[in-house]
Amino acid sequence: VNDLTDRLQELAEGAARELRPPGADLARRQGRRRRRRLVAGVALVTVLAVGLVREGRLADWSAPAPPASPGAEAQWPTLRQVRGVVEVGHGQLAHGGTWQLEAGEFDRPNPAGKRELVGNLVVAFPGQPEISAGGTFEEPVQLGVEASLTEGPELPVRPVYGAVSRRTARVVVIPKEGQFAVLSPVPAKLLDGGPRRPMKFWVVFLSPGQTVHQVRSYDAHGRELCRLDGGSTAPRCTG
Amino acid sequence: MYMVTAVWERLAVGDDENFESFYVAAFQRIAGQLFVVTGDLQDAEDVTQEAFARASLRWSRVRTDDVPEAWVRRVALRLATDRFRQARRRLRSLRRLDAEPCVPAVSVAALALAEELRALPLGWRKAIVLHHLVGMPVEEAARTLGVPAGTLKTWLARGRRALAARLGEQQGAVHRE
Repeated sequence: VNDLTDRLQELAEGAARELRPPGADLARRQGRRRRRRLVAGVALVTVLAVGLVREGRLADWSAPAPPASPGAEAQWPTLRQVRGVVEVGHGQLAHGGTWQLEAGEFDRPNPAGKRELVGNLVVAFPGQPEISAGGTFEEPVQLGVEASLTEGPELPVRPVYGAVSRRTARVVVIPKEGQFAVLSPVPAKLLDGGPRRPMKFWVVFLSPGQTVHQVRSYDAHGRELCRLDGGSTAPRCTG
Repeated sequence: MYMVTAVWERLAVGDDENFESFYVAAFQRIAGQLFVVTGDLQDAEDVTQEAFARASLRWSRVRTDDVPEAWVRRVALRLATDRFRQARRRLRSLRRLDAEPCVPAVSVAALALAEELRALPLGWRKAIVLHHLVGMPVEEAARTLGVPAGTLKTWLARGRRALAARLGEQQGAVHRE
């Protein structure tokens, strides 16, 4: 195999000659289809999650079902669309991994009449399929967190991200291991949400086996703005 | 050799950094390299096209990378791994062990090499392609594949040894006939 490089070259060039590239236009269309699937997936999961939460809050399971009126038609909720998707940040991870955070917003307010933002964190490692986690953040954003990937499939890191108000200058995540072992705070990377979105995103990568104990946000003077316990969606904020 | 490749790759992007010109310049080269990994023309074409589709989504970022072609190749290699695993599962369940790969019209020696490469573990094949065909230094090939440099060196050494043994045996068999 002294001439290995030459023979590999011959093989690769022979293959290249016989290949008929499907075309850049098709690649672009495939890319757009892929993005639409991704966004639709995030939107669907969000709508289902919102629906489940509302059902859980509003349904009175002990009450008898109301009688159906003959003329009434079922009212199906219309799926909201995500629009204005832009990348707010990306970076490299250990083990050759990469991450990318995209943000968009729903085209209509939520049932409570508030505008909702959508984040989607995509994480990829060599030899593994991409993994993404979508989260929604109701405006005005104070402190939100999306930590589903801390309990997802096996990854060399445990990504957590969220959204905070624009006046936030620092976010730290306090991780825990197991039930009780609370660890030292880990500073999060802050990302600007852009001119259309008066808020910031943050992202942090914990080690495998760690989950979120608490998230805290601070202003530029080091004053604490909000804190949010792991598993909760309601931050406690001052001012 | 790698420097030459890298310079060529930058030129291939074109001054206008246009996705289409990048696609036209790089598709066949990357797909040819992927053929050496996958051993099948159709698979090589599919994973390369999918990698370009992903590049088109992030083109504003990919085109500012030092070497966009390296980004597409890395994604295509990852997709080839996924496809390889799916194919292995499919083969196990369907027992389609007689499936013939689609190969190009090249010399008998090159085809013999393609056949022997297919018998190697996928990681070894990727290491051989990145180091011996693309011309990447060991450290960079290791980074691309997400393995330590020592592991990559081991894969390369074992791959070369296996190829030498298998191709040597074949030549011996031909001589004996």
